[in-house]
Amino acid sequence: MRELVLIQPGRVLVGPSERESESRRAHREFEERLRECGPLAFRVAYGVLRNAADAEDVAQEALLKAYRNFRRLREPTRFRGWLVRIAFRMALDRWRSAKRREKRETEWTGPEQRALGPTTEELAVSSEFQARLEKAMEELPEKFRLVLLLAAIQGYTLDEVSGMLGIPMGTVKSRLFFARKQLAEKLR
Amino acid sequence: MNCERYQDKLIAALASGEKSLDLDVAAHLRACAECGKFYEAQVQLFQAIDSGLRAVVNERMPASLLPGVRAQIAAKRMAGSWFLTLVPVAGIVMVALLILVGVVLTWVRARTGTVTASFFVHLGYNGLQLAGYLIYIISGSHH
Repeated sequence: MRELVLIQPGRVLVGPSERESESRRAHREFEERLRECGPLAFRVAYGVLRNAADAEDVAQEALLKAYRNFRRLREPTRFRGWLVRIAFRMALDRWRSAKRREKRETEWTGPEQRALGPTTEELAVSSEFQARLEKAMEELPEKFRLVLLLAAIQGYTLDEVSGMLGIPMGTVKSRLFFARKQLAEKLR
Repeated sequence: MNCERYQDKLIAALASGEKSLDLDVAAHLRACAECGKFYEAQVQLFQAIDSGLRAVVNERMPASLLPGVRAQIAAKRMAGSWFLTLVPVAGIVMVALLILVGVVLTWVRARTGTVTASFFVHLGYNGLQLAGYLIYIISGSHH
């Protein structure tokens, strides 16, 4: 007697050993992406937060999220773009909540403390121009800010930035143009 | 007025990162000392912006980042494999409980003949089936 087996279209039957080797392969691929894109995720987060410990936390969270979604992100360009956007968004969220917390604490501690300027340590770490630049960056629209950060990261061309974000090269150039112009206006 | 127009053009050229200036702008720069000074100041400003940006984003990645991610993934995989080992055991226990609850409550209903017993028979059965279904769903999401 012939046995009829119904298989869903587009679905391949896999045994446990095949599933395991597939999982090992995916794990290996993820390891490659991790080494390639880990620094990128960190730098994007650092560009927003400007604090290594916070940026490390955000990059770690973003990479773990990428691991959980790795099935649909196996294509390298897609992975990189997704990771950059998620790291940027998570960093912005953290930055905003830190700002809110800072504001609450400042209000709570009263006006005497608010009048205090930056510490000598803070002054030593960042020059006045750098502080103004960072402040000006915070005021840029998000889409300009992300392009500006990515374009400044060493080793990435504008073409790669365009691929990462899935936007045309012309859009990358125009966002970069307006971002730089706005920064210059604020710093002039 | 003329200088203002050229200064706008100079800023646009610097903001777009163009290496060379339009011929008319270059000619005006040679002729106008004030615009020449303005241009030099703008070149310095854009250079400072670029180097400031590079300083912001090219921070070295901490050495602990990747090992930290690997450790968390390994922990997650370990937890997942334990869970998958427990699924068949949970399945067997579930079937045994279904049979037991069925037998006990049918026996109780036969003895007492009350509606309450019948209610508990169905409640027990449906509850166990729901629990089994949930285990099935959760194990599917771990694959």
